[in-house]
Amino acid sequence: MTKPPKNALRTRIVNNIPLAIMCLPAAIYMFCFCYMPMFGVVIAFKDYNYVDGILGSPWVGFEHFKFFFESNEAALLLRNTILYNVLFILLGTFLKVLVAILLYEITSRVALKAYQTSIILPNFISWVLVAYIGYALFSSETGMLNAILNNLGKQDIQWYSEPKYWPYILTIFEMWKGVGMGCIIYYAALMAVDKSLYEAAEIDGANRFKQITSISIPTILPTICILLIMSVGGILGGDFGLFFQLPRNSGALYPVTDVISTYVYRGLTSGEMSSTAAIGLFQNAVGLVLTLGTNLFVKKVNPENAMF
Amino acid sequence: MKKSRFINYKTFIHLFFILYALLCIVPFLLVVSISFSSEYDVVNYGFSLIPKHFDLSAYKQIFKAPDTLVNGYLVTLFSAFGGTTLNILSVSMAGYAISRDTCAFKKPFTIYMLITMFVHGGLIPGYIIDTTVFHLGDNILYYLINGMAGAYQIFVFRTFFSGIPKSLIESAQLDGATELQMLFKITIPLSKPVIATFTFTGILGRWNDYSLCMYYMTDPKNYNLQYMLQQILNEAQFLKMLKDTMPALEDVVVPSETLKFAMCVLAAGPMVALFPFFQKYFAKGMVVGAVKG
Repeated sequence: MTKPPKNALRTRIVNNIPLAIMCLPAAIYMFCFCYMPMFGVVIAFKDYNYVDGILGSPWVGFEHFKFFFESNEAALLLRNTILYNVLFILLGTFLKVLVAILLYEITSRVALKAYQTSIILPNFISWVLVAYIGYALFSSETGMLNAILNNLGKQDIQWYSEPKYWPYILTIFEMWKGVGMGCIIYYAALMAVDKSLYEAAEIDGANRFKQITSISIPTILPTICILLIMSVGGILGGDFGLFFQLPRNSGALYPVTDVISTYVYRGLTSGEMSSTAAIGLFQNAVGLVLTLGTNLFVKKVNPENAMF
Repeated sequence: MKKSRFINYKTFIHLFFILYALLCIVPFLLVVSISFSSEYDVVNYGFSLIPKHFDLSAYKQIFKAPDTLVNGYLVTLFSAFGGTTLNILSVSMAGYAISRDTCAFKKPFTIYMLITMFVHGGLIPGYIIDTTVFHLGDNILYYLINGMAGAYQIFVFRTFFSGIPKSLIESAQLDGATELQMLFKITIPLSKPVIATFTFTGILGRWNDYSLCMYYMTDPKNYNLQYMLQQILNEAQFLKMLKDTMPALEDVVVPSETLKFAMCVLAAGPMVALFPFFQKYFAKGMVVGAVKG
């Protein structure tokens, strides 16, 4: 009953031509803008110059890596990047879960909509606009905070040149921008909980707090785990806009605001291509290892929660 | 007794959210209010939430010579709408192709895409390839091409398209429809929610993006709104250039602080004002993202 195999193969190929053409734009794009830069990382092991290009520039081996890790900057950048990311992940998760649980208590549709719309607004604006808000608050001559300090009879603070305030400022703005949107995913998970569980608990005499700790939190625990795992891979990444736009690239603040991403960007503007490409490669390689590693770990412990 | 305690704890939650909502909205009001303040008040008393004197001179100044702003708008609109259209087209086609049972290269192509999600060349190699091989530095076309295809988007489309009843597509096939016709006449009309979500996130992402412009564009003609705003805020030089092109108003101090904020309101305001109407699509996008592909 089956057709001759050769003919079937031909039909199959002919049928697949339109499908292949449909994939072509995406495939070519990925080749040019994802795969070619992947091979472009060889410049991290070369001394890149424009005249010789990527292929012609001389090899230097691990020179750039050695230079970076022996410099004082490496320790500072790694400390800033990792500490900020760990802080943002932990504090962010805590606040998002908290807001989601509180949001779940709101039963009025109108109030719910109003609150949701306002708290996710900061997520949808660009970091440039956030920098304007920051400038309105912190500008040393005209900023609102200094005006308030003056009214209280206190001295002005030069916000953009005083590093000690910035860990707090960065954390507050990162939370301000991300928590409202981030809580929605936990809120959606809470909405999936069977309402009769709460009713049953209430009949058994559990108060609202008890219901939250023994029903709400256990149900969103898998979601919390998945999102935590997914964020581990980005521990050397970081929100470029937060660290670059908000402090307005102020050099005096680098000790507390400089992270790998901003350092790499400055390498691009100063033309130090090879040495910063090496740092970028290090950042991406660590990210890849962490992502694959955590996924492997989760797969062993609980295959349900693995990403792939 | 029990009733009154119940009201109390709900009231606290409402109070919390009212404060939180204010915390999110008031900073925008501050920006708007500064733009309507007079330069004299700003210089002498600092920025404040309520303008001491209502003053439109910053806006008047901008509207006398709106070229920079208009150019920024044109570039941003080109990028937001052109780029997003191209993006949706390319990812929906690819997602459709690998959702078909007849697709023979599903597996290798999926792996090809998956790799791009985890392995990155990084900023610098990407910059060198884009500028030396493709000559996209200072090229307005880069706004169209950038972000044209993302593996993640293609996977979401594939998952969504796979949920559409096969019989619909098969019957169209029997009627002699081509793959392209089946995509545009059957699959896409049935996928409005996911298309809407990606369209809005695409437009918003391109609207808010300053980094592409910052990395690749040097000619002020190619500056988009966000980068223009960044330059105005951070570089006195740029502000001076901007003011030189504007004829000064008679017997008025040239506003510089308020001018920055008026520019900010004019450039970013429309999107912030439109946002509440499209908000639900973004929230949906968040949840779409949570589904394991």
